[in-house]
Amino acid sequence: MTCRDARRELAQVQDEVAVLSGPVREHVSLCPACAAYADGLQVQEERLAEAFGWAEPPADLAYRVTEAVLRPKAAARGPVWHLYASAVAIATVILAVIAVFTGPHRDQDEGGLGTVVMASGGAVIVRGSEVLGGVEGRRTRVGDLLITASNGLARLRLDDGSCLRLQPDTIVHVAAGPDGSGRPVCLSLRQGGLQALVPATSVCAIDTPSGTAVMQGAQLCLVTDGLQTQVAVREGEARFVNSEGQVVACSAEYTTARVGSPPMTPCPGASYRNECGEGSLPSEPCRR
Amino acid sequence: MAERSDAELLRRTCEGDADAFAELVARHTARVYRFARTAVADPDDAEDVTQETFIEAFRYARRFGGTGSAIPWLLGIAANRCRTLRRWLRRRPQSLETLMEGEWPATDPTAGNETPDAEAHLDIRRAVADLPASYRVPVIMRYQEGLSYAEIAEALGVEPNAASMRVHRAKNMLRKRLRHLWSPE
Repeated sequence: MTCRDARRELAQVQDEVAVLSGPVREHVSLCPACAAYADGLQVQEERLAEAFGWAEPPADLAYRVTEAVLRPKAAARGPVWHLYASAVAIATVILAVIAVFTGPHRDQDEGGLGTVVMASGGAVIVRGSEVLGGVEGRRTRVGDLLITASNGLARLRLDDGSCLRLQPDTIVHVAAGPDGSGRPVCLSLRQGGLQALVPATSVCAIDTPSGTAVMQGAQLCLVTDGLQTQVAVREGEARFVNSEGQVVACSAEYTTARVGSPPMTPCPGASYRNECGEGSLPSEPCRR
Repeated sequence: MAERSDAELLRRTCEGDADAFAELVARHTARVYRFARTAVADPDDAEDVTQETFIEAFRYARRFGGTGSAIPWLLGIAANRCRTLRRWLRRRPQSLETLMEGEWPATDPTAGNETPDAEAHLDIRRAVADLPASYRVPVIMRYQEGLSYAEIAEALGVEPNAASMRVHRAKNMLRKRLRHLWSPE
């Protein structure tokens, strides 16, 4: 029995693919170097097992995942959105092929206001008559329509530091971008849901069919089905305005508004009926 | 009432029972998220991977052929999503090293990174993160998720021998790189 053979078997025993044999046991008892090697294996096993931390998911993650997967395809949506979804699916395949051959895209930054930092599933940008793949690095401009398909996700970083995360089946129109003049960033959420993180130095207005959310230094979620919009504020505060009235929702509060009705008085806590779910989460800076 | 098995929940999902899938999501979101968080480091990316994993699981629920826990199957999907994501990360100007710094969860929720072993743990996680994907993922499955070699093999679509061999080789690589950590005290 050589040290080499003994160590090979010791490693296999540690990996549970072999059983310690008598000769190796005897060798280890007589060879201090191999005994130290066996101890080292044991230490490695223990340290590996304890090295990985456990990360608790956000409290509302399961809820959001369930919503993203099972959100009913709203009957209220007009057939035009189904056409959009089909167009997105087809365009995504074509553009994915193009993207493979052209690599990461970097648009010439004429009138650009933000960058797609992550896109998966079906995500496209409709710019005039063009349909562009929502690939990483793609610049977005005022007038763009951002669309995610039923399995799509997209994350957008605006030049003022704001972050938008588009959920599946979402359509957002970019009406005005950060131009340095102090005018608010204006977006129009036409369908689906998004999370927005807006820094204190910027003002963002998100228009929906049943009202407009205006925020500064806030993190919130919006979801709309075309008739009703729900806004959940995670941090900061947001004003929700429509032609019938306005309310201010603070951290961990949510409000709902239907077309033609004033926004509901903001409620704390139980917000399971909206996209964000219950509770507030720690603020995370926009890292990209 | 006895808890329904994952296989039962997925079977009912295929029959259109949305509540069954919601139960599966509630049961396994934390583990899928934790796996993704280790594999890609960034919490936002981990959330996206978790969401995409369940979207894919819902679409392909019929493909689940197991009778026990769906965790190996879900982690296999998550591993594929992480691999795709890491391709994006590599293309970004931001280095993986930057992502690793400060992004890792504490090893104990009641303690910060000031624990005596924190530096060693960080070294180990860095070394694991530097492993090729074919070795890194099985190591995370084995040591973080506690999967057996059979379950790792199921997740990765390989033979159990191949799974144990990958872990074995990964540990050899780690042993060489982190020789100072493995010496018994």
